[in-house]
Amino acid sequence: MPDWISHILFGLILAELLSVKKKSLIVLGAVLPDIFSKITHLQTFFPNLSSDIIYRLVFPFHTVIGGILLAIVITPLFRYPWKKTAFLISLGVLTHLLADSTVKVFTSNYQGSFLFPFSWHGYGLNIVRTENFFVVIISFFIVWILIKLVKTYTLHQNKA
Amino acid sequence: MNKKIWVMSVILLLSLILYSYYFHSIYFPGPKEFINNPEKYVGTEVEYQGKIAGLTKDGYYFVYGSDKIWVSFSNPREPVFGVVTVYGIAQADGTIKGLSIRYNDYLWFIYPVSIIGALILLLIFLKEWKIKRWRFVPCRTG
Repeated sequence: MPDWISHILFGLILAELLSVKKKSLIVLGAVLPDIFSKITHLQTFFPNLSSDIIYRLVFPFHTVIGGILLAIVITPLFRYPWKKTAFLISLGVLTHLLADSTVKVFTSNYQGSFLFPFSWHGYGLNIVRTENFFVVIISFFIVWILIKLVKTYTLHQNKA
Repeated sequence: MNKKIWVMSVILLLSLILYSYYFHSIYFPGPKEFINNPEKYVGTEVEYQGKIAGLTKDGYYFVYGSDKIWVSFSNPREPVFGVVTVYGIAQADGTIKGLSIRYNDYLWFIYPVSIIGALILLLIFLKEWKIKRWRFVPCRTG
């Protein structure tokens, strides 16, 4: 699992590329699958708490169908066109899952069960080791800055 | 928003949660499930990541909350400010025969970095939304 800054940057990159007005909705979607799974870290403070049970309960949020359903469920929290809201949050969820599928694992990528509930098999690109998250952050940051620069340059060119 | 779609989504999401709750362990047996019933998972490939203790030249204990699982692996080392991932085969005596291990050095840095990430998210979010009557309303500046 990459860290949250990587997920946020990936969401921001997509929002910039699509010139989305409400970037925060994609960014929210980009961290949404992880928000509930963080509950498992309570085991650090409460050793008797079984994080297996929490994992089983929050696992669907970390899948394509579960993530999109969660995006629709939280849509009424926003006073904004619901289809647009659900779409942008879902897009963010997909960036999250795509980023997580790049993580190197030994066996089936637990975080890449894209076909759940039809299949539990995890798919992964097996590219990045989790502890190399700084490389991912820096790469994403450079890409984000480059897009911003190109967009600003194009805007100035069009004005001129 | 269309209420029917919302209610349907809630029902489907709850169904997925229940399905995952009852069948998750068949496909991804968690450490606690393995500790409670090792015979059930004999020969299963497992991949666990976490803190370690009791390091010897023959293996180490994978620490899971208040429980420990012995992992046999020759000449392991302590991770540097991080955790160890083991890939191995579940044994009937509740231990794991380690086939390969990975040292995730400096992985603990991911937590402060993610806290910074959460603050960035909050900043981006509050730039575009404000709370009004329990709902998020677009800011004029956003």
